[in-house]
Amino acid sequence: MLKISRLSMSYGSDSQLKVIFRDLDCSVEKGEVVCLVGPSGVGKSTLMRCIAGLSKPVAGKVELDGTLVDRPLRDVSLVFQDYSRSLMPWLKVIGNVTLPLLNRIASKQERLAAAHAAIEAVGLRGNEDKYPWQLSGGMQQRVAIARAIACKPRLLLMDEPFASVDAQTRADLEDLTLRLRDQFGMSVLVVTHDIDESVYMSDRVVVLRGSPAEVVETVDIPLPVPRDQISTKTEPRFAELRAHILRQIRGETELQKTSGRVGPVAGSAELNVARASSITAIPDQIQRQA
Amino acid sequence: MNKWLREIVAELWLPCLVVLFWWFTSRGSQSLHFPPLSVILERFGQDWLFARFWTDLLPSLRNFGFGLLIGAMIGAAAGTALGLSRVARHVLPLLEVMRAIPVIALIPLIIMMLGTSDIEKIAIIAFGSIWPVLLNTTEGVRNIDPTLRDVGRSLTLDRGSVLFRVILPAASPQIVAGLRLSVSIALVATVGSELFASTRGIGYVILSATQGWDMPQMWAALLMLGIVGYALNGLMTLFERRALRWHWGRAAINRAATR
Ligand SMILES: Nc1ncnc2c1ncn2[C@@H]1O[C@H](COP(=O)(O)OP(=O)(O)OP(=O)(O)O)[C@@H](O)[C@H]1O
Ligand SMILES: [Mg+2]
Repeated sequence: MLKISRLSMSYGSDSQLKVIFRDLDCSVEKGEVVCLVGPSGVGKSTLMRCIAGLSKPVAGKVELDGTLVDRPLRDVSLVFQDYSRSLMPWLKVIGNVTLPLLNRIASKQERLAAAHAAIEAVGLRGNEDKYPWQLSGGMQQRVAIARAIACKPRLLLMDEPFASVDAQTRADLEDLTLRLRDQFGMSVLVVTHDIDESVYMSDRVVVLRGSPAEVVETVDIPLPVPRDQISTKTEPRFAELRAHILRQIRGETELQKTSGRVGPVAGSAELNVARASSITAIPDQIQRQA
Repeated sequence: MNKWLREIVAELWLPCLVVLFWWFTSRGSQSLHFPPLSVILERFGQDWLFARFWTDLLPSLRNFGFGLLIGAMIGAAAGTALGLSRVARHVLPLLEVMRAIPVIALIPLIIMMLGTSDIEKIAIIAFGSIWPVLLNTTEGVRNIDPTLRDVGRSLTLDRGSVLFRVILPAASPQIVAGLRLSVSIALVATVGSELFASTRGIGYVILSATQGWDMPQMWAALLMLGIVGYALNGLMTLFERRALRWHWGRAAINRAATR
């Protein structure tokens, strides 16, 4: 489905050259939800832009079912982090959702039908004639999701899609995304800071770390589907997986762990460490503190 | 209905008061320069409601309309092109200089080049109206949130759609602000163009009335000009309210949220 091979990206040139990642490999299979996690500034957004065809990689390639991605493709939709900046404030909800369909569906009637179906799918029926800024943050992000799925993409990319909504809305939107995946059979690639979220939503979690960034591990998430906010998150395996990923992001080696040293990697402060350790006790962290 | 009435009263009570004041203080005035308002109004009725409406008012308004339209379109088109290009930064100072030259100062030159005709007058008005729209459009287009452009690209809109459905709407608040400035400059240019080598129009009436010591006629023409200016401003406000409803609505909500 999505295949990223030996992808390299850098900003600047010559003496100012900053290599963000080099020879990165990664893939997403059909119908899979994959989360991309890693410390802030590691290059997740940069990678997403390359996959979305918005930035040109320095080397390597991104392929979607064998097609080279060298510009934004019709089969790929991107949900931006900041809904307040990514929705067109001069268009009503229906106008925003119809926008990507304008040059895809010729008949106006079919276009409206597709837009209404997408709005219905994200649970926003009845809000078609409101402006985005008249809606709450969570609802605006739903509009953005509706716009992204209205054209039935094969791949849905989301860059920290739920970072600026409250916890309850966030949980709702996570479930919504999983439901839409089942409904439309698309693949989903999500960048997130929230490790709980990555474990909860994913079939696989890809952990990026270092500079230049590399994939330190791809963690399979064998939790049963469908996921459930309460039962999934209280499974012992959920806590294990989360602890494991957290360790990977912080760059703690097995050696450091056994010797009891805590070594968070610079830049990981933004990760939701405090929250992660307060919900479920991570056994070896307790030992360390004791 | 009641609300409308109240708005009209709120808008017009002071002008009405001033007119009343003018009416009573100028009653029986013998001054050559300031005739009684009653005389002026009588003249206003004769001139602008009847005789000169077709021969002087309409030509002025037509020139104004065409000039503004042409100027604003050139300004918006050039401003968009400039805003999207990389050279904007270098060209802007030059444009600021062009804008700073009062269009009145160019009338002799334009008459020399184009002769005296409606074309010449429209050219003057258009030239004056270009700059505010041009500069504002350039700024507006240049300052569009890059996220919006990325959104346009990632939705795989074609170039035309990106321009007309993303870039221009996003810049429209600034473009309209420029248009408002252009409207007042165009009105100045309209009257100005009629003060030079002209045979009709409101400006011409003002000039010829003054030269013939026909002060009531001059005052009546000034009154008409005031009314035209007021009406244009009102139209502009209505247009703005409609076209930029989203802009003001969003601004109000953001203000409420940060308060
Ligand atoms: N346009 C750019 N020009 C130069 N450097 C850039 C540019 N965009 C990003 N960078 C740099 O690239 C690095 C990776 O940025 P990126 O936004 O991809 O990180 P991220 O993993 O998404 O971080 P976050 O989790 O905070 O969103 C950062 O060091 C950043 O400073
Ligand atoms: Mg980012």
